[in-house]
Amino acid sequence: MTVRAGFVSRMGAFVVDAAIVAVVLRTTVWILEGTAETLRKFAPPVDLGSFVLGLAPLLIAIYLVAFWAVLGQTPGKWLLGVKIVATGGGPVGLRRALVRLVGYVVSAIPCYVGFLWILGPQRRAWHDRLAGTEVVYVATRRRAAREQLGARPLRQLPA
Amino acid sequence: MEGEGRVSGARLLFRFSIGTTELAGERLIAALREFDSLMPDLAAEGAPERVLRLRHALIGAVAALPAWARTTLARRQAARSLHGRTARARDLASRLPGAGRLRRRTDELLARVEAQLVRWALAGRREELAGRALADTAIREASHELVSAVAESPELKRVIAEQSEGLGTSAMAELRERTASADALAERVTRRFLRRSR
Repeated sequence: MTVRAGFVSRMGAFVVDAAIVAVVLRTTVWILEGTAETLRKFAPPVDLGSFVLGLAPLLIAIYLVAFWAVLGQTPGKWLLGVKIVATGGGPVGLRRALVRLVGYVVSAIPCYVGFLWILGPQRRAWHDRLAGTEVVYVATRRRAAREQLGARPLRQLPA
Repeated sequence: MEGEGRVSGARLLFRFSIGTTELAGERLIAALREFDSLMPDLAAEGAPERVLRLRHALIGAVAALPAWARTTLARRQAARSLHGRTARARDLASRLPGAGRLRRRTDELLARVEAQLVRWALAGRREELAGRALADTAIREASHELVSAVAESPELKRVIAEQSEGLGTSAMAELRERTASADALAERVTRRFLRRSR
């Protein structure tokens, strides 16, 4: 039986992922700028650092979709012990991952209200509902989560 | 050492023990000197214990003994030369029959003893130098070997790996458990807030 993950776990995973992406992007920009500085006249005529920062949204989207589709969890979600699955179980797949990414934008547009739906009894944000996915605790966490919730299976709760 | 041929095991052990004793003694004394220089001067500050006991007298006597012996001997030698005191007795003895031969024999014997002592001293000095070099090298190599053996020990590696893995795993489990309880808490707070606002 799967137990859906709550707001704090998912928020924590998001923060870890944001930190990872920020560090990787910043390091890449720093290396590119250093290389351009070293090469001087042989360096390409564009500012590579700004180019990478301009591509940041695309790189973040690739990071999220790739991890969701291939592993079902980003490094942040792995650290916090949660995983994305299709509703009813099964892998997320590329199509669901892409829809979920679009759902992220939809959840964020009205002042991130879509994310607050995780605090509801179903523990599903707008993007989860759009893509037909749910974020669940991985096996090692289920026991602890069930204890916290008084052994109530969330998926049997009304929407 | 070069030029000595194959040295026996007992000789090597003897040499090593001499070198180790000397090196260890020197290092210990150097360390003690350093510590002593850091100590406050209790004699200048005044002893914390006012009552004088017998043990204090004994310790003081032992500490002062070498200096006392040196000064006493020097004073006595300066005051009365042994040679001067026995001059009369030697003069009488030299007049006895066969005294010249006995004196020559005694001088020869003393010369042989002195020569033997010098040979032993020279050999001892060589032995000491060889022992110091041997002990220095052996201790350095042995400590390297020991460190390498400890560092490359599969059992030690396994223990370290297990400890690190266990630590990481338990920290992660702790984090996950805490976030799980925080999930439930956040939901309870939200539910209470929504109920009140209705």
